[in-house]
Amino acid sequence: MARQKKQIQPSVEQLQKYVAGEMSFEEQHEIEKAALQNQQVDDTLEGLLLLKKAHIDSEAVANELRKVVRQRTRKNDFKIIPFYYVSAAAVVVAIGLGWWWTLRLNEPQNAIKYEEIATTSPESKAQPIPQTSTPPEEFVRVPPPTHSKPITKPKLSTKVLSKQENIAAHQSLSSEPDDLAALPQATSATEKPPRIASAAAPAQSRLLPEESVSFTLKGNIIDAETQEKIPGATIRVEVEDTSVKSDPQGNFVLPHVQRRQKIEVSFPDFESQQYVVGDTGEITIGLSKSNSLAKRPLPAARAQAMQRLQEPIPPKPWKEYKADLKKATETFIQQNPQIERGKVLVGFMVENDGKLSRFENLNQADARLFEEAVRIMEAGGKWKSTLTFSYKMQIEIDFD
Amino acid sequence: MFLKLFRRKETQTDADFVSEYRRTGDLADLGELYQRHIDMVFAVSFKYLRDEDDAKDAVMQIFEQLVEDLKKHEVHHFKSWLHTLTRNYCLIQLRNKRMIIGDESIFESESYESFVADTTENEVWEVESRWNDLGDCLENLALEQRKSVELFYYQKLCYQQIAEQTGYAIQKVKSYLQNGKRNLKLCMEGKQHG
Repeated sequence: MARQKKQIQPSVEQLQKYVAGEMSFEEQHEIEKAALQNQQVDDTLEGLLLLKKAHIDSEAVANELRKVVRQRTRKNDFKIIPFYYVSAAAVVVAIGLGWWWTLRLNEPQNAIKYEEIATTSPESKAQPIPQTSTPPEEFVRVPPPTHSKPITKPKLSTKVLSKQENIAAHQSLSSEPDDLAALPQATSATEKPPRIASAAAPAQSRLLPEESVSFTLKGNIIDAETQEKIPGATIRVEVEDTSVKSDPQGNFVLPHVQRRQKIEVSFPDFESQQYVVGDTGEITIGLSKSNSLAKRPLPAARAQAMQRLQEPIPPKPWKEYKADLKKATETFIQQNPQIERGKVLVGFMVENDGKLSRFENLNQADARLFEEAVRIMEAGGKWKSTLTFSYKMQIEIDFD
Repeated sequence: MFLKLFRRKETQTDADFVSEYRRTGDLADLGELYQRHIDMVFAVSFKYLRDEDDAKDAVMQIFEQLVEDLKKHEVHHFKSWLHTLTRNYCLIQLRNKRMIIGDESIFESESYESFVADTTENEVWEVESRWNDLGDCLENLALEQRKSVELFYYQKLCYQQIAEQTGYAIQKVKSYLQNGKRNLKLCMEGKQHG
């Protein structure tokens, strides 16, 4: 039996070689001899031959099966997989919460808008002076206060994503009293009163027979006090949560709106306004500066945020300060009647001690006018600042 | 741990894997061992079951059986043991199939008879070791069997060559050799006893 021990079983690779016909006659003989002696070799060899006959790629199948076996025996992964799931779930929850929070902040019922907190300065809003608005730096407005025609043909440039959905019948006008107050104010202030939507539908408005019918709402956003057009205001359709922005003429177009649908118009520094779609196909919405913000009870944290953002104020109340500036410019023009008149947009810093510094000629106005403007402002004295840092501001001084 | 990983890279014998698995019960060890022989298991399964999907199922089922059986049994020659396990599994499958289909023919066929007979024939009988004692046993064989045995064992030809020389079909050559061997063995055993 010592001989038998010497017999080496051919490997599967050798058998595959045999089946593929890649062996010499001697090698074939050895394989066949082994198969005659060993049932296992014989079975394997026959199996391989049958597989070849059936055109089955035994090696490919074997690799496939190896993969399955590996998956079956990979026990370590069981510890890791739940961890992946947990972290994935945590990320999803975090995103969901963040989204929900953003939605909540944008909710109109939440009286204070996020942008308002970030950009408003209630003091300057309290006494709005039409010609010299002092918006925060990140916010640049088109300056000339030429009285605009409130209703112009809206340009169909705005893009809207909107789903056609029926809006619950009970959605009623739920805007806050402040907003409502702003409306009549806006109307009365105008020489050529724009049609305010909540008023009974005027003659020229389109009447719509059914509530379910959707139509295109065209509108114009203006500053309720100055009648200036407001470009870039956000007009958001509630429920559907789609929004458009007003174009440079303050116009917007909202296709597929339905009666009783609520829309909300917002613009930094202004009170956002709610409007319930009625029969009118064309509306003008006047926004008033958000002076009411200070009156509202604020949560402590927000109040603090507001406090921090309080702008420095001139040495006299805004109205008087403006009057002083006006007087000074008139005097200057009287003294220099031949000078070219114009406006100067002066940028400057209010230091924390109230000193003014770093004057800038923001609108490239005539150098002499700018010089005079700086002189006038410096002559006005120190400002009042509650801040611990320098605050950048700008003011428009009109020489005419 | 490091040693274990390092050792894994070295050539480990089947017996190493078996003892490792029996010690730790680590499926990864068993899986690695099984992957070595998966070609054989699949080929053998296909030989008996004659169906690719059945054979694939068998490969996975046999692995599950292995997980249990290897814990219970002391295995010295893993490969031949695995072969026996595979063949028995396939035979059970065929028996079940016969019960389901009611197909008697599969068990009457020659191939079934032969592999059932083979199951009992475990000892390996060496023609070469008894070369000189054959005597007239070789003479008593049927012509085809004798011719095949002579060409195969004396002249060390392969099936293909024998088929070419004699004009027998290759499958026939194989069966002549198997039967000739068996008859020689019986003849020799009769001589010893008689």
